[in-house]
Amino acid sequence: MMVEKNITLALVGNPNAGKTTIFNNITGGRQHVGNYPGVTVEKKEGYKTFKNNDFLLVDLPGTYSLTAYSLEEIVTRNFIVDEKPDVVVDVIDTSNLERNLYLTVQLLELGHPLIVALNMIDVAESMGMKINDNKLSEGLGGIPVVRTVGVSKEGLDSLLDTAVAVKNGQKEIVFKLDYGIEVEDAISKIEPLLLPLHKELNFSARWLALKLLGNDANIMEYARKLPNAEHVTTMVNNIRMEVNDKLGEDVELYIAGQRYQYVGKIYQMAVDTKSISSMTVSDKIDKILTNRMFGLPIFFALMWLVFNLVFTLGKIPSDAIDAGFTIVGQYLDGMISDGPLKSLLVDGVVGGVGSVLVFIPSILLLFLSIAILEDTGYMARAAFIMDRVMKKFGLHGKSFIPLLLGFGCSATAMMGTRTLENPRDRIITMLVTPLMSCSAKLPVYTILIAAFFDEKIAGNVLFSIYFLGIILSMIVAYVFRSTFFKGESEPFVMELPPYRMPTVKSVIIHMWERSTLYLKKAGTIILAASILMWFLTTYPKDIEYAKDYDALIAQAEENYTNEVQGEVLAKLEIEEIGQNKSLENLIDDMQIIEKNFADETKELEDDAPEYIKLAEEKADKNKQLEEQNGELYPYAEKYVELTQKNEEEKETIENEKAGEELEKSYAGQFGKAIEPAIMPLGFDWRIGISLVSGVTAKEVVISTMGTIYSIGDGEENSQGLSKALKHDEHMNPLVAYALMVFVLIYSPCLAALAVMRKETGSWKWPAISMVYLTTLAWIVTFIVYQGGKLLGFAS
Amino acid sequence: MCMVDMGMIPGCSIEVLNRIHEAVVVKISQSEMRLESCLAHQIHVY
Repeated sequence: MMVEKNITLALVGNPNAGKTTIFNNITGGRQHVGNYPGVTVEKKEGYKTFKNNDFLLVDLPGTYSLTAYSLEEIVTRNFIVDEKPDVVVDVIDTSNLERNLYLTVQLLELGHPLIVALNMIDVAESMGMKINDNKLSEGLGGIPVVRTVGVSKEGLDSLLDTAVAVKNGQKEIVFKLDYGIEVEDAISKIEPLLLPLHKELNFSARWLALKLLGNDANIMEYARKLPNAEHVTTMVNNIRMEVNDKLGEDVELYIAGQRYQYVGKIYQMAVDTKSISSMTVSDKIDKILTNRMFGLPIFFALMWLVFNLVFTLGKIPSDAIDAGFTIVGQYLDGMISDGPLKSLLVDGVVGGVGSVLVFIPSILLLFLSIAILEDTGYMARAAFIMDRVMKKFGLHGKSFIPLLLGFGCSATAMMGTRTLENPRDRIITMLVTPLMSCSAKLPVYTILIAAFFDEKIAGNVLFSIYFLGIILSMIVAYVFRSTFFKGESEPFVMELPPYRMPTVKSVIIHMWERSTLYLKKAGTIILAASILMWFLTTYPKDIEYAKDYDALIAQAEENYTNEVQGEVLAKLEIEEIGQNKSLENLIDDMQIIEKNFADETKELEDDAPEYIKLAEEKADKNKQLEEQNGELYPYAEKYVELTQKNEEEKETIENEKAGEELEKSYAGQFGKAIEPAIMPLGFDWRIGISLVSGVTAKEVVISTMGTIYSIGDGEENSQGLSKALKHDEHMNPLVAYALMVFVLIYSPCLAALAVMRKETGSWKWPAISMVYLTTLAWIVTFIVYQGGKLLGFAS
Repeated sequence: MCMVDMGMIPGCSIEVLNRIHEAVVVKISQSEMRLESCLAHQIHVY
């Protein structure tokens, strides 16, 4: 049977009318999300095969009108006239019928095949609305009217059947609203001037005339490019002024008024309003949720829930993914022989990809939370409640949620700024979000505080860092709003949609499509950057070492062999340990006790009660072995002691070698080069490299410091790093605090920069973010360090 | 003009539902909207 190829359906309608729910329920997973060319407006397309017809559905942005005040409106009307979808489906929130019909009338004036989908008809009926579909259709030029309930898929088949019928019927829509003698006269004067424009832009001459009369900025722009632009624009301006005088008001307002009047007539004709209840369920809920007394506490409780859901619940799968990548890394480490390929795969690729995928659970949960809050309608209320606080610092109420989520992760928080419609508000929010200290910076604070500050004040020191971040974010937002973003318009009106129960399917689709975008875009950049950092810290290889490390290791081995020979083997008159099975087994048991003790006390201080308890348990176990193996025990103990000492010695030499390789690597050379710039902050080249590496991901600051301080991977051995830092003559509490302040403020990590690039559509804002934050970090850290020195805190 | 697009044309009747600080929540037909103070001052009571 023949399949009709691609009937294109464009879904248009007001925001919150249910277009996306209908789109998701018709197309299921067969969707593609992208951007309209040249703009950051999202483009969603999906596919459906229905009764031998292949449908391409396009979910256009939600819009209240077809004026030129927003990109969404321009994209919608241009799509309809340029792409010429077979049928336009105007999805209407029936519970808000009158307001939604304002857009319908404008769509009719475009002259394109149109269907009205009376969506949420169940909600309208529950409010007491009774609609006469035939009379409604009659008032709208005879176009089909289909009842739908998008969330439960009711009416969607009928909608698709009607679309096929409209396409095959191909009846031209003749809809002409009479705007009154003054405006109609003006239209008839303007139309003849527009022949070239009408041919170029695909809009009807009447539509163009109406738009020019209404001073539509987008159409005026095109008119200025006409060969006789000056004549046309002068004529149009004169006609407009003439009409304004005759009407006694702005013609744009008058035209809107006429449309609403017409809509009012259709509404009166088609809707029985006698049974409509005055107070809806949403009104009742809002009496509590937006109440002056309860609104704020309820809001904070919900935000606490979201915060915990995203970052506490997300930590479990994040840790599992992290552990998974560790296993993969260890597997590759064992399978591939030493060399550049192994180093690239284990340190560069696995490390790089792992650092991206670790974010995924938090990303999924973030968008799940945002989807639920948006779909229920609560997000608009949250913005309403927080708006006053945010306004004082030049921010929108909706900025509060991404800023709050920034305490977990800047990258995910920046993706959360999509709820802000105004580009200025989005950019300011993205620029200050990194000042909300994210969870990746916490290991840096933890290690430095443990090394340099008393336990009693540790909590206060940590709090002061977070508090500093919050204060700085408010100041910076205020400065941006007062200077670079001064004078830009902001939305004064915001609709509060009725509360609705979100569907699981819609929420999950909403969550998934945003997360996959993150994987594709941010992941490629982080992977590339991790490989680059690996290269810069690994090469050049052929360096001149200050010591002959191979000789040192060989010497250590020789010393060990001699000591074992002299103190164990010779005394027992054996040539190797294996010749005495009892001794071998005893040594194995003792080494297991040592290894377990080392694992259990890895993160404990020597004077911690738990450490002391475990040490006592270890001593007891060793005593038991001594009692069971009286003769051999001293020799086994000596052997274990010598072996441990040898391993520690070799590890120290290896780490020292790694430290020197790092110092002489490209990254190390860079660290030395920037040292003069960071010395006024109390930092040396080692901290410099750590900070530079931290641009990839803030956790990398710790692992780099671990390598530099020659104790291996810092995070697994953070106890050792704390101790190593304490013994460094250069480090003291003031330098440590200055370092925490710098880490708090400076450049966002690559993931955040990558997301910012994606969300803003250019590298300009990530570059500005990186430069201004690093500059701010330098200035504030300078004040902290030099001020602290003056006050005597450096000793 | 976005106010007009959302139904707030001169002479339309609105119901004020709630107020927090400098913003009000109003109802026009069945639509609930939040207006900031500079716009809310344009509501005249008859």
